[in-house]
Amino acid sequence: MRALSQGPVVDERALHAVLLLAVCFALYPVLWVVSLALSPSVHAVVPRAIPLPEAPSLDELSCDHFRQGTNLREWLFGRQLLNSILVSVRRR
Amino acid sequence: VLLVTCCGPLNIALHLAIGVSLALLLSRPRSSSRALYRVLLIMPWAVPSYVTALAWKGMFHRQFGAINAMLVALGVEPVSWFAQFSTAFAANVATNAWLGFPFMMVVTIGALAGIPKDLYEAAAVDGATPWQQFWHITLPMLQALAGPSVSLGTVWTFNQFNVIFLVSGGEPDGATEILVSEAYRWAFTRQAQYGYAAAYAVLIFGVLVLGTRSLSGSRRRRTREGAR
Repeated sequence: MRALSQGPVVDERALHAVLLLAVCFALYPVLWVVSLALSPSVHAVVPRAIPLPEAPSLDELSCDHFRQGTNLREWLFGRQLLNSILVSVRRR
Repeated sequence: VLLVTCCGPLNIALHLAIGVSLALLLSRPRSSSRALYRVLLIMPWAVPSYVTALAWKGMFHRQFGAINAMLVALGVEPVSWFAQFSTAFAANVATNAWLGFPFMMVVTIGALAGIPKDLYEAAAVDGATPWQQFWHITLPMLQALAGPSVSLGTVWTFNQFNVIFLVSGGEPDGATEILVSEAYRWAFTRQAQYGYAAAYAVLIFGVLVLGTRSLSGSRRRRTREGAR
């Protein structure tokens, strides 16, 4: 009786192991990019196998990178966002 | 260039192997949390091309890349991935496999859902084992239903400009260029040789027409043989 009930449990575990491995393969590059975005600039170029920032920081997301000048019309991120919205609206 | 382009079947084989295997695992009636796995596994498909390129080019970087960090952790010497053809080609294939398997998985899940359950019930009544059911029902039905997606995948892979241009950049010395990236180079980086680029475009179109015609022809032949 015990042997019969153990079969599917082991099977289910193997199934989850394979699926988790596939999920790791699918998500690893995405997590690597996210960890790079959340790393301070000086740490971003440190080689690491585990895609987790050692000292999470929002430095790379600071406004300075997205802005060319102080004037709102020179705010690059805003211009690019507007362009993207216009292009996607036109495509509809 | 044509030789590298024609290595597309290797990519398609990987897309099919990974995509079909995952779809079969996800379509098992007993597997729980299927929806969550499905969402997570479709993720590569939702990622924009430039993010894919940023991720994979960075991961294969000689000094800072994650792949070399893993190799070093395992005690292996770091590899200059884009310094020789074999490793640069392998990097492109890995990136393309990552990009392509979710499509095959989604198509196969749809195809599996379209196989009538009566067939399995009848086979079970006749005493067929799950393995026999797979070989004699699932696989032939999948072949018929997934044929167009293989053609589509072949065309997409054949024209996979983003991976080549953004990840390997044709390195080393243009060895990993494919027809579409070579056409781009003729048009925009080699003194605007638009004539050559146009010739490449016509050539690509011709090769794709011939390829898809022969694929659909062989599929039709197999279907006819199966019906006999």
